[in-house]
Amino acid sequence: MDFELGPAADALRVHLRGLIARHLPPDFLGGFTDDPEDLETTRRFCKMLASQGLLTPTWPDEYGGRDASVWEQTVLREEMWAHHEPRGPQYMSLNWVGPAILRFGTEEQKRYHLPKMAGGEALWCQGFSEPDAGSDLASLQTTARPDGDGWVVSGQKIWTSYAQVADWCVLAARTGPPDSRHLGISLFLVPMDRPGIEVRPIRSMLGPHHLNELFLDQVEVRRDELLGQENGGWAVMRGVLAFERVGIARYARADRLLDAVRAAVGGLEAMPPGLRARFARAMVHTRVARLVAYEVIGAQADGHGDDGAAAAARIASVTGDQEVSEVLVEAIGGAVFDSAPAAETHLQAAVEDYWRYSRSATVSAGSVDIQRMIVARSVLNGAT
Amino acid sequence: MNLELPGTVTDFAASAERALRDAGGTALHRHAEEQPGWRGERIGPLLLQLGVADLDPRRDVESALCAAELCRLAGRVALPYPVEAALGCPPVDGARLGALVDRRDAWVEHADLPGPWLGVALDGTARPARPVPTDRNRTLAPFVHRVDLGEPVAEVDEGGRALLMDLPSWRILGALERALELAVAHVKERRQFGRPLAEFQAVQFHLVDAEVAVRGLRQLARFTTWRLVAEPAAAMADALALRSYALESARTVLAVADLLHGALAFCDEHDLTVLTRAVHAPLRLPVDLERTTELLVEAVDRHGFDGLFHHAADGRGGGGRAAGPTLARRS
Repeated sequence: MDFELGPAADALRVHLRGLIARHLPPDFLGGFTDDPEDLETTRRFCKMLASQGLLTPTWPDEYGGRDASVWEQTVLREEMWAHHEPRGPQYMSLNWVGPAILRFGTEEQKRYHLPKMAGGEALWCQGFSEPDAGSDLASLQTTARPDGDGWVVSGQKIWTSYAQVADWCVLAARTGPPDSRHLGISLFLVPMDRPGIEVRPIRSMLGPHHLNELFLDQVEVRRDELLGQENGGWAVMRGVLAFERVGIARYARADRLLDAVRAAVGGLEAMPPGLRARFARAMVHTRVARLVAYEVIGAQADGHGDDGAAAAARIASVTGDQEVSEVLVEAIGGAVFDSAPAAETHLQAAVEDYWRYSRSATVSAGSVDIQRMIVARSVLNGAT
Repeated sequence: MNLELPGTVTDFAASAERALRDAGGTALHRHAEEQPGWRGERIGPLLLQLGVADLDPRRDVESALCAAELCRLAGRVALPYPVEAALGCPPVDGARLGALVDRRDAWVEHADLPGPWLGVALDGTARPARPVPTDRNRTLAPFVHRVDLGEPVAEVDEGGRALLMDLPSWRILGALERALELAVAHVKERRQFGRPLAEFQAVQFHLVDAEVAVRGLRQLARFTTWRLVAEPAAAMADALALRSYALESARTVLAVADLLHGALAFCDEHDLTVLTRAVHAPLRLPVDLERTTELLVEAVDRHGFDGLFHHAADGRGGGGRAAGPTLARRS
């Protein structure tokens, strides 16, 4: 048993921190702010990572990766998330869109899409949720009606992150009968400039680009854009979403800001007694969230990951995220209101941003109650 | 990174589990409550057969994990014997059993068993410890005794204290694992409103809270024990973090197990009662959750809490904090 990440992963961490220090502005808070230049920063940063083989390092060499280990990938995810995700929306390519195409795509789809992702040239969004199909995704109603050799898709998606800026969408639509639920869903890889697609942003406290509506009016989709089998979309989603559950290293930003705020206020003992106890426990919970994520990552790398363990790791991660957000804000006090984007107020701006974004932690990418249902099934069936 | 327990550890744990089960499991605790003298006569030799005398958790990671696993298994059956005190006793002349104590209010579990016992204060000062006869209610933690501490005989370093803090957390882990298993079995069997309790989502979500806590505690215990041997720079902060999480988890898991068992949870005939009463000692001693957290606060301020996340490696050739922000206040 050994918890060291290994020399390659340790060296990568140092290298990434160097890139971050050199290529990100000191007040960077991610690509989704009111300043359009931040999104441009993420595009440039992705190109730079891609030029070093660091955008999709675990992918096979032939598709633009460099066969890196899952622990190097883990370090990449941690450092990116810890520093406000300078890959912008492109983290999704690595986390699940790319792996889904690698596992379920045709050779042609792999050759077309994967190098673009690896090169930082394609932004993706995910068209899953609908106004009447959120947690109950199997009830989605967007319909793909057969038309010639392809389909014509009509319907509405909602909460679609990055749809305004995305070049491509993984679109879930019903190809089976209306009551076919999860047995009648197919996934399509659709360019966002296809006629019939309209995006309307939804303003939110999370910042721009996080939430959009996507209207689909008679959108033509070709057979070679089908990902996996017709009516087999559910298997693709299940197959890759377990990876997504440990794909965002929330604990890494938590860890970094807990450390920074603790130092900035003069240590835990400078905090009021009640707060310092909660702050210390939040630090412990963050360590635990990291360790249960590592357990899942290690098991997945060995080919025996289970849904229950991944869901449990996600519960620890997202509930911890909200706990951390509270103690961070309490520790800095009124400074949270003094958080204009500037280098000298970066810490309070980062805390303020953290608190706002953590509101969505238990909702986005599958609500925490759905994760609880998955864990419960696993516990009661003796899978843990 | 290799998160699997070594084969030598899993083999040792499997044989220890078998031996404890064959010896009677939780029946050992019930028997010892009726005849306290039976602990030394029966359980001491059983542990010697398992090789406890040769097991030094300070030797290497594998030995530490074997010791830890034995404590976990002891927790699963509420073994009425000071396993942690035997395994973690500091190498001080003459001492055979050692425990951390709060000098202001010193209690030690099984202090009536022949030692010699060493009471190690949280500041590291070690003193002989002798039980004081007390007429206490022995329902909770039945084998705990108030102790008198003699004059200091040694100083125990931070690594030694961290080990004495670490091993009882494994016993708590074992008790919580077993409590959760009992709860899962019970809700599958017990029917109300015409169906098993396991089919109610409210019941399921209680189990999930317990499962997430136990899973996290197991990983944290393994990490902490590995680190005490492999990278002991912040040993006390690590051990206190583990203890703090173990105590928090115990509140969650025992509350869930009690609730889901209904009144059965409190009946002497049920193993959950035995576990709950027995685990009370490592939950309270040497200090409970609030005091543990205060000690953690001090240790974190002294040593930091980097763990696997090295804040100092900033890509600028070491030194400073990664993009180290400060808390600016604009006038």
